[in-house]
Amino acid sequence: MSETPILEVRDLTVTVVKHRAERTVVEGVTFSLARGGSLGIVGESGAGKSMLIRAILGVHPPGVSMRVAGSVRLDGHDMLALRGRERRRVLAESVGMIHQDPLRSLNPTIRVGEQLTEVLAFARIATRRERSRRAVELMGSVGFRSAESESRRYPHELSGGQRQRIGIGAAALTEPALLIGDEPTTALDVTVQKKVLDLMDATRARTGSSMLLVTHDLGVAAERCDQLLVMRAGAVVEAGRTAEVLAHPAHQYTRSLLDSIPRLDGPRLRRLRTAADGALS
Amino acid sequence: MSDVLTITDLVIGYGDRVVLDRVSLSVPRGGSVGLVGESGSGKSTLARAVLGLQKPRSGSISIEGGGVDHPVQMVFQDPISSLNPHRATIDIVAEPLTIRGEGTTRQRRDTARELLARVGLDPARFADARPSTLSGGQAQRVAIARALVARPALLVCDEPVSSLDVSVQARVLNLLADLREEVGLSLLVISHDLAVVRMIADSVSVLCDGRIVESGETERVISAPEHPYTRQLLEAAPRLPLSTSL
Amino acid sequence: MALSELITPVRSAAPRARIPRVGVIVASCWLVVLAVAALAAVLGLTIDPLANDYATISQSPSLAHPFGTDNLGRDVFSRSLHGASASAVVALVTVVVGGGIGILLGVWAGLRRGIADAITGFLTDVTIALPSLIIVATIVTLAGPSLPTISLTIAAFAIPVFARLSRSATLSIATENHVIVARTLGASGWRVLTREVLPGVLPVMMPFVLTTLATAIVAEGALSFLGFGLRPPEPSWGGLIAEGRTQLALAPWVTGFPALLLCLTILSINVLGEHYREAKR
Repeated sequence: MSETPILEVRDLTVTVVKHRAERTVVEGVTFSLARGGSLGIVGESGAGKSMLIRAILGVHPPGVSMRVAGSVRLDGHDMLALRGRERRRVLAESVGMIHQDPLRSLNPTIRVGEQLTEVLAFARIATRRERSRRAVELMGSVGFRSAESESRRYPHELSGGQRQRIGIGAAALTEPALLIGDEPTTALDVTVQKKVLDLMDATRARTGSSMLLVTHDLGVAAERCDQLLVMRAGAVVEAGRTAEVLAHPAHQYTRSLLDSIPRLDGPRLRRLRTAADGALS
Repeated sequence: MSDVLTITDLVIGYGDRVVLDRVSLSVPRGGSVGLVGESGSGKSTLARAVLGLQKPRSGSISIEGGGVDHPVQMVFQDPISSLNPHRATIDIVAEPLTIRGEGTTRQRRDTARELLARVGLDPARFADARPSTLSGGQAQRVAIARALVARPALLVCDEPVSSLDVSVQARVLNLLADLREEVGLSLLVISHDLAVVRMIADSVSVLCDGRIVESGETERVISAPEHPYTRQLLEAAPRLPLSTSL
Repeated sequence: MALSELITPVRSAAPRARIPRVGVIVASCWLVVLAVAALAAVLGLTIDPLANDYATISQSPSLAHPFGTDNLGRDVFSRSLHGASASAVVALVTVVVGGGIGILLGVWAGLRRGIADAITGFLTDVTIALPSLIIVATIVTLAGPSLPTISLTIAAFAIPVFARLSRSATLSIATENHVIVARTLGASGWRVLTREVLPGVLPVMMPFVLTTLATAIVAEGALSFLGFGLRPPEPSWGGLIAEGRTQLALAPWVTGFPALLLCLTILSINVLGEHYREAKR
């Protein structure tokens, strides 16, 4: 088992150019993710979490151009040096991506079973029959009880949780070294969220994948990730082992973030402690 | 009657589908009641019914007190869409008075300025701002200010902080808590987040598939839930370890 | 090794914005110039468009007659401008009367729903299905070809389309929370319509208003060309073009200039409409 981290990001800086105006959305981010480990990237909206992921994957948002500086090493590959086809090959082999709304990454006019077979075709499984069988098997493994009939449904006929489970299954299909979840449970009810996160944990245990979990929900990151990265305005404010960061937050921002969250445990608070009400938002 | 809102055996449905099945709930004057439910539980339908926007099949909703015209006001999940995008903030906040024809224009604007300050928005800076220039938290405060101007008997908050950033959530929740103390505002807070409800509501009802499966004092329900669904909700909620710092 | 890398080339925003801008200036200038000239003509500042002058038959464009003369010695320039004013009246009446009634009808149907909406929808659908040009031609023939008749009849056919568009705009705005709030505050239906809904509907209608101007001008032109519009010797663009047909070999300017004015005007309106759409994006 290799000791080199699955992902090593150094001094990553992302500048977005839109209508001739430039904005730095990620500034000097450095972190590394050990093989089999899990890292939660947390921050409020505008913190740069999604842009960070886009920069790592080399996927620019529509309508704007992205300029990336720094270095990104994924499974030993220098991602920023790779060109289109090479980069896509590395990503296809090593990364499984779980989006916030899998409905958007699923074609609404094609039955879900068939879309999974497409993913399998890309993973080079030969016969059609074999692919269909594997697709149904996959759906069963992510919790669909009558997978055969469910595979014939269209994406909009499934609930958010069901679609997300398919999304996880599809992402884990090639047993990638790295799973990236970009707010995978934000749109889901809390009971469904738990099932989806449990499924992600089980999948990871099976495939040995590392995980990068981007979320604004500190509770989710705290429960599921052994490392935390707190982002604010494009920069890393705090990083370290989850337990450590939560018990002894070094940065004021992290502390006020923790104070701002209403809790189910502990004493009932009538007022939450927030940062001094200087710049009200 | 010391209850500001009394819902008795409310049934709402469309055709064969029953969205709310004999729901009963009451909010005491000056009290704060939470309603917890996930998507599809019927919580939004209940909010609309309390506002008078939904006709029940059977059962009753009665509201006591407050201004005759506006006994109930609501704060929505999406704050920006609850503000008229073509008007300035001060006009939006003064609107309840304008519609009622109360006072002169100057008096209405003065009241609006007062309320803006009360919710923590500097009138000098925000009075003439358009909703599109406001952040989510600022827009929610404007919505709360407007609701207060209407002097409602009951303020219904439908997922008031779900679309806001964590730090902003805290400020808005604090604002609601403060207003309860200062003005004696009665609240019905609808949320999927038990922790939010815990902070702001004295008692809570749990809504599942259109039925109230459990209700009682918030602390009791959270520490000793009786219904399996309540237990499921509590178990599924991600927990942060209690901070040992400060 | 840290590399500064362009992931995608920065697409310069300049060319895309510049071309329409020149076009917009030209289009606006043209319409303004045309409007001023047509006004001048109506105020009697040009040669009498109905004056026959057998001494100057079919003369090619000169200083005295910038657009030449036709086979009865009439000044084509003045006739073209009078025709412009006729087209302008038709266009404006169509938009103001047709649009005004159509929008109010559509917004009302969209807010009321139920029976009112059903009836309005039915009438709208029926009217749109009718062959408008033929019916307008028939009505004009029966009632007599005067400018008011032509304008109002064309306007009548604009009503259902405005109604449909404003209805769908209203449907989406009516669900916005600020409309609900106004209702709970006890606002009257009229207040909700004018203060909450209409300000959101009108901007959506703008592109259609511009295309309707163009369509009305073309409709009037087609009617006159076919002989169902203003009777000669009353000048109208369609009529002038029709008259000039028989003179094409000897005096092409009789058809040419009115046709050119028509084309430039429609083009200008379309350019402005396109610019408005782009600007709103």
